[in-house]
Amino acid sequence: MQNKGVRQSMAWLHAWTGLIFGWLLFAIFLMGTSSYYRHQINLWMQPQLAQIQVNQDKAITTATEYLNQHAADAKSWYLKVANQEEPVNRMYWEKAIGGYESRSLDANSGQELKLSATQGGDFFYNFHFQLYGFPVMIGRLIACIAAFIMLIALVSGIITHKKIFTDFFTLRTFKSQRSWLDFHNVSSVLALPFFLTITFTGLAIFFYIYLPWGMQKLYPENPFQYFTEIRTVNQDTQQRPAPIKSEILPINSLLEKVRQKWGDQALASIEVKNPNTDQAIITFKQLEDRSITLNQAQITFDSNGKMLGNTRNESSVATLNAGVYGLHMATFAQPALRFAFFCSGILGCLMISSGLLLWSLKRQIQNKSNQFHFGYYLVDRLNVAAFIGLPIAMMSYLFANRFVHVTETTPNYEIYTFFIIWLLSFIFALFTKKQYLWKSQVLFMGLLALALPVYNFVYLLNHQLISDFKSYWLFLRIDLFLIVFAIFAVFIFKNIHPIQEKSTQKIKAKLAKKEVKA
Amino acid sequence: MAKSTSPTLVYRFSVFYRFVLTFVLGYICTMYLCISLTSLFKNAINKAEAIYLAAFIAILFYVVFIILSFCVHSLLKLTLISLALAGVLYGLSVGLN
Repeated sequence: MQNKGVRQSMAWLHAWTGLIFGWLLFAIFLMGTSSYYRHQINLWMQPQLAQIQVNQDKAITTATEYLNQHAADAKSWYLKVANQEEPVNRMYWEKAIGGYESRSLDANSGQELKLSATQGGDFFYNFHFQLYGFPVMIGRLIACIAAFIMLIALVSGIITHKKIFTDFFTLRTFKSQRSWLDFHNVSSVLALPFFLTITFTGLAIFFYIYLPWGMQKLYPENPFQYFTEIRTVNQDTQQRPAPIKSEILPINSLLEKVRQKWGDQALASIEVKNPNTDQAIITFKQLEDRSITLNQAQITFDSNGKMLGNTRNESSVATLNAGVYGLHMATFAQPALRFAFFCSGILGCLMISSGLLLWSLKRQIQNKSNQFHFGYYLVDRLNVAAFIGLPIAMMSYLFANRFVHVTETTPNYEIYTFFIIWLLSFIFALFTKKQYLWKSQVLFMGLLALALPVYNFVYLLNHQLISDFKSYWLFLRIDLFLIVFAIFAVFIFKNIHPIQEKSTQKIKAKLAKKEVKA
Repeated sequence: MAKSTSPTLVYRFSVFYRFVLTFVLGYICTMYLCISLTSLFKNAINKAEAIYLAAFIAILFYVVFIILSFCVHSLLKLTLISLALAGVLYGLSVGLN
């Protein structure tokens, strides 16, 4: 740090911030990247749902009947209407006495779903922003700190990398086996705008956790009022009397009006404020949303079925807020752009892993005494447990789903499997000799990635869950990714030693050159 | 840098000090900047929008603060500048309240 130029200082900052949070960032990036296809993973993990044919009109009727029976006096209802990608009605309501309750219903029968209590792809999604086993706010705060460190590492990395603009506009293909350093640079530069965007937007979404001061200052009684006001404009500023119980127009009549206006467009959600009262406000939102700012079409009615004006806050700052959220969630990106985002996420994982491997390799070469160094030993093992152990744990989570039926009353053995396998990977790495360290776990990862699609196919056939290619495609799309992943594992298995040797030679040559200069 | 083992300790301590100073004092500056900007913006735009815009700018400020802190070599200079900035932002947040 002392007497260094700006670029050297930034390189130092880049290396150390990257090292401290690298493994957590890798986990967040990998889980977040998987979340782009969480609905597809949900279906893969609940094959019975994949067979349901959704009729949205019926789904809405059965859901509102359920809400009228079980939450007639609620303060508000929120219904996420079942669609072909997510064929389950998900709903929550704010109870009259306070607090919330939620349910998932069969879209056709309106019965509560008791298929499986698996968290599916939502486990990866939730982990990437609030981790697991921590109180929600603490988990989110840790994820925010990690995201902030990522942003610092990205900016310092850009400053360090003097040829950033040249590299950014030059696509360098693999002409030969490159060292980790080259790979780290290439993977970082290729998807740099994506990394900056996804990191900053992730950080900005959760600002209320680490910068709650503005909310507390302007809304001292209820800081969360902020969320209502940034999303909606209150058209009626007059003090209203308490809502009085009253019949509201049946949902089918409102649905008919919506269909008249939008045609046969699929719906995303229905929100009802003050249901079954004279002050009921019912909002329908369209499923299709091509806007970055989450600006999907919506229609709002009052209790008499009168169409109300737009209640969305469309000021520039509110649009910025929605845009930040939309860019991170990428709901607008379907399907090619979503795949591009997914690939960029994978590149992010490769960037983080190659950076940490580079750190480790450099220190080992600089350690000329060849004495045992616990720090380097630990970093090496943590690298393996994170970069190979985590994908193994994620695949084991999927495997467990095919072996165990998780219900509301039993422990979630899928999640247990995930963490136990991850821990075992680390323990196994601790006691493995260096020459077998990578190869042993990469081999296991490849075998698992290959076995899972095969076992899945047998499982689906045995349980008569697939009848033709169309019904199999819902599972095959995930399986195909696993097969590609298995091929990648074979590539790593074959090339890990040549790449390591080549990198060692290159770094040694670089260090020798530096010494001669000195 | 190294003549005996003690400079290593001094070096380590200075790195630790720089980290703590940068991240903790940086956060305090960010907090006061966020409060000041919220107070300032609420006069021109809605409350919720003022909060969001202030936080958005404050996050960018925090990133710049940390990057610049690691570009300043002298710890004394860094400490003085950071404390002065924190004082100014605190004063601003009180003044605008």
